[in-house]
Amino acid sequence: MTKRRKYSPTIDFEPEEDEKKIIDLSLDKWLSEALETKEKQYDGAIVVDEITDLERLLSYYGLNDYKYVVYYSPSIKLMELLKWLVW
Amino acid sequence: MVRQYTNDRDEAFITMYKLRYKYDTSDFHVGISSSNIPMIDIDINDMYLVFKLAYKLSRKYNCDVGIFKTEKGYHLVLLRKVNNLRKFYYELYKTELRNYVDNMQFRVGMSWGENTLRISKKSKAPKLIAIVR
Repeated sequence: MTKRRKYSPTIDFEPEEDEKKIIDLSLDKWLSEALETKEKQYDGAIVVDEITDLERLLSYYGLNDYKYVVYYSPSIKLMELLKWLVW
Repeated sequence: MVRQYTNDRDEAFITMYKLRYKYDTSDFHVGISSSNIPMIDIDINDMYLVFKLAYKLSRKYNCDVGIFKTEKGYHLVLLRKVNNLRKFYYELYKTELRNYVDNMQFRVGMSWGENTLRISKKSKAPKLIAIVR
């Protein structure tokens, strides 16, 4: 008798319990402690996109080995593109 | 591609605004780049997939994983240091992310010295939809 091969596409992942756990740990909840102590550091700083959240997160975990990078990323919006095509 | 690195936050933002003013465009942005902290840019709007991946990575590397929502998809940040980031990405590319990272995109990204692993929909990858017995 041949042994049937067991196949499970989602190995060791149980979404019902574990996914809930991860969702419950929302950023606000567990960063609140960090914000209390670190808030002053960011007074007057420019808040842009997700940079501030990421800084806080890395600071909270003691990961300060990073650099800031200024980069160019052109974004052509659909309406602008249509405008160009029409003209 | 214009890229300027600095350790100083204010300097980065001043440079960004100067460049925006000089070239009269808002296409210059400030980001964070690290050669030790793994960051994965996922351009797929599939929350279940992202949480599943985050959970797997968290268990495998014994660390917390931060999930950010972006316009196109998500950013995953592994909250731990890694000695050799390229080797780390290569391992991920060969195991957990083999169905999501495009071969050419990965090679080009790594050869350019990018510190971020980009994931987008891989059209050729077969996707399991059902098992019939």
